[in-house]
Amino acid sequence: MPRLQPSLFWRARRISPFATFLLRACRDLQSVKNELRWISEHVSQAAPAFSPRSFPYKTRMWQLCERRARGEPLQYILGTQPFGELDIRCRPGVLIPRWETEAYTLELSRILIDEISSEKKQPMRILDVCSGTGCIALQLYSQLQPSCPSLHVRGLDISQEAISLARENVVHNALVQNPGKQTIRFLHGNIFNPSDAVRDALYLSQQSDDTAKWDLIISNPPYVSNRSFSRDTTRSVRNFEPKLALVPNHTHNDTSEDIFYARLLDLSKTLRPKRMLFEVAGMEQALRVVRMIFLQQPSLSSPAMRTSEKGEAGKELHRDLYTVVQIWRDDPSVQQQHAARESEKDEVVTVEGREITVKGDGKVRSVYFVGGDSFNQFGWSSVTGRG
Amino acid sequence: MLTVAPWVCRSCVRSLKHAGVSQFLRRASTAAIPGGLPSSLLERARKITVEHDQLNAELATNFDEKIARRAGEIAKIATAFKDLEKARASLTELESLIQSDDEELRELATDDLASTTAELASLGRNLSLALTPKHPFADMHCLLEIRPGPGGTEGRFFADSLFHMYEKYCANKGYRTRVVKHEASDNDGHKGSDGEIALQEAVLEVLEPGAYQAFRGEAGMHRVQRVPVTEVKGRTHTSAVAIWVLPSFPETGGADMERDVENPESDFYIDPTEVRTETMRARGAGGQHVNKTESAIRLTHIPTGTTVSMQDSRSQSANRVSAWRILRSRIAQQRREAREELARSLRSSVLSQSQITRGDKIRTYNYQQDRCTDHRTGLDVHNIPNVMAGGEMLDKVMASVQTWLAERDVQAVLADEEAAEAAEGKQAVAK
Ligand SMILES: C[S@@+](CC[C@H](N)C(=O)[O-])C[C@H]1O[C@@H](n2cnc3c(N)ncnc32)[C@H](O)[C@@H]1O
Repeated sequence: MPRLQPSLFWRARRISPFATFLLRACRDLQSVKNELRWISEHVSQAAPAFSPRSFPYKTRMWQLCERRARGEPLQYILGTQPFGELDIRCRPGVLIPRWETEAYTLELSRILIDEISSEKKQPMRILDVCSGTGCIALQLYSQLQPSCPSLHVRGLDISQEAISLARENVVHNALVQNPGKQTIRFLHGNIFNPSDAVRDALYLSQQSDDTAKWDLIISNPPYVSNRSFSRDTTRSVRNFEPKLALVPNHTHNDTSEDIFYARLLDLSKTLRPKRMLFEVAGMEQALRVVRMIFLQQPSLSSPAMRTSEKGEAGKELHRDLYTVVQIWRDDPSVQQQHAARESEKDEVVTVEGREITVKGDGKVRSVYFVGGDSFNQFGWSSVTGRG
Repeated sequence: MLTVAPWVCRSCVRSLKHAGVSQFLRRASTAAIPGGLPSSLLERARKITVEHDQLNAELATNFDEKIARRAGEIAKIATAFKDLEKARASLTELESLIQSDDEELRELATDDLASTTAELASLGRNLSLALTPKHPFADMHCLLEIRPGPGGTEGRFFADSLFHMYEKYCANKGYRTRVVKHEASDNDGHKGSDGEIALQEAVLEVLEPGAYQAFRGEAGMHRVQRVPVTEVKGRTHTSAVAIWVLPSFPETGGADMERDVENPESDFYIDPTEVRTETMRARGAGGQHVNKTESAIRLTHIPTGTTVSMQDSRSQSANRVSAWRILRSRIAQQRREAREELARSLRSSVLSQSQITRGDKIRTYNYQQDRCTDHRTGLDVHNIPNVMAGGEMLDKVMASVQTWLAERDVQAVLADEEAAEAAEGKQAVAK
């Protein structure tokens, strides 16, 4: 870890005695100033009666800055993180929402709102697997609510703490529900080993409509490998956030960091969601996920597959079942601005012979799939039956 | 609310005859117009009055909403013109009475003459105000950008004082506001005598329709003369703070507003490919690996080099939205100013000299003498604490500036009319 320059220390000193403390966690003056401002706003909001010169105010500032200096995330100290228009409550034990997640969630809700006009009559169903604080589900729900008269969002998480917090966040953000029309629910369960209740929810078994399908399955699953956990995560993440949320199957040492995607894609074979979006760690993982879906064995009982030839031809067909396959960077809505960008053309990568657009600016952050008509036509109901 | 038409410029005022008169607005003013009204202005008013009467006649037999709206728009001009004509008629009558043999009648007429002449002047002013195009941004919300001028801490303290002055002024007036940006400068933790901080830049948004008109006269350099808390020898220091006033969109803008942002003709349109976005990024892998709040964002409008950086919120998307709003407002203001500059250069040199440009000092706050002076209107008010608390003294100063602005706009219209008339005259001679 690089040592702090002494001059930085003196300059922080001149800002405020608290600033030198924060320097340990922030390492540059601008973020020290920002965090100091956010902390003091928090303190004066919590106790508006105390002037900044008063003893109780200063004591409180010391306590919070000291916690921050020890590496505790600012979001746990302040208890919240803004996420789009929402204010998401955060607590130790549940992963803090990231800005990258916020960026693709907002981009996705813009896309959905644009596409709704043509699909409006249908109810819109969204599933957020590994929902944590509920940030993604809540954000989509609140963005889509005005343009979606029938909207059902479900979150699923293995952690009871996360589920409680997500439900708290529905109330904290005053999201209005309208039974039967607009609903958001969080379910406690394991995606690898769903209980009957979770299975019913996943397979939409309680729906009167036979053709009911997920319009979107979105997930920010644990994707950090064990090696990467000790090498690439910051101290504050390692020491303060739940490993369960970061490393797949964190109690075993040798499992792949891709197992959640494999499971989600396996489910998609029967669930046939219209769209899928998964957060990933970077380009390598994104390419692995895309390859995984292209090469996945199609479910043989589906009519399209039955008529097609097996082997290579089946693979081709599965690859082309998706009308859109994209890789998104951190800022999906922004034009790429790398110096490396030479031409006006979109950046593409080729996977299994298909060209895939890489959109946005920054590091690779998510993969996005939209199923074509032939994909959606054959739902799981024609394959497995219900129950 | 009236529709905003940013492409209207004063030098094109003559073509407004055809473009509709929604841009015309009457404002109260006590300023006198020197040299009476140009005949072309009167001619235009007469035509509009004729149109108004025709429309009203049509409406009497056959109601049509479009016609009614148009008649409503030009009603003020017609009324002002008729009032003026009436006064002119009575003046003519008085003048003939003065020739009368009856001494009593002569005396009466002479008494009336003075008051009628005065009335005529004020009616003429009303008419030209009614014919003066409203500023295209007048109805909009606004952003007040506050930045200390070059120099020491004192200017930064005063920048913060001005920020609070406007904030309190709005509170007193019942205007809603939002602090878009309030950034301390980095090299100092001291506080001023009133607890103000050393400000680097602040942006205060006034969320009321018409705020742009109410505050546009505040744009310019504000000078302070006082003894800083840090000054041991008791010397008075002079420093300056720049205030910029930018038009802004209501956050949930009406359909018109939205269209303006999307419309390449609009002053607020920015081609997204011409904007470079930079975000603060942690050096590592990002995503789940990092949990630090990295919400700062910087936008650069490449063609003009205008940059906006925002880091006030913990949310990057909130900072992005704010930065885009400020960028749009700055670009719109720049475009508008460029057009005003062009119109000005076409006008007589006397008038252009009376223009205030961005770098000019417009007001001085002198603490020792407890005095605030506006250099454009020459108005002096006392009671600096009341001014700095956004009280009625500040209101008085701002009101005087409104009058000054209105007068200046009228003069610009008159100058344009005269210039156009002269040009037409020349053409006629040439033929
Ligand atoms: C990276 S966090 C994502 C949280 C949230 N969606 C967000 O973006 O901030 C992953 C979440 O997956 C949950 N999780 C881990 N294993 C799971 C499993 N087998 N089934 C369901 N959820 C699981 C964790 O509890 C954690 O909340």
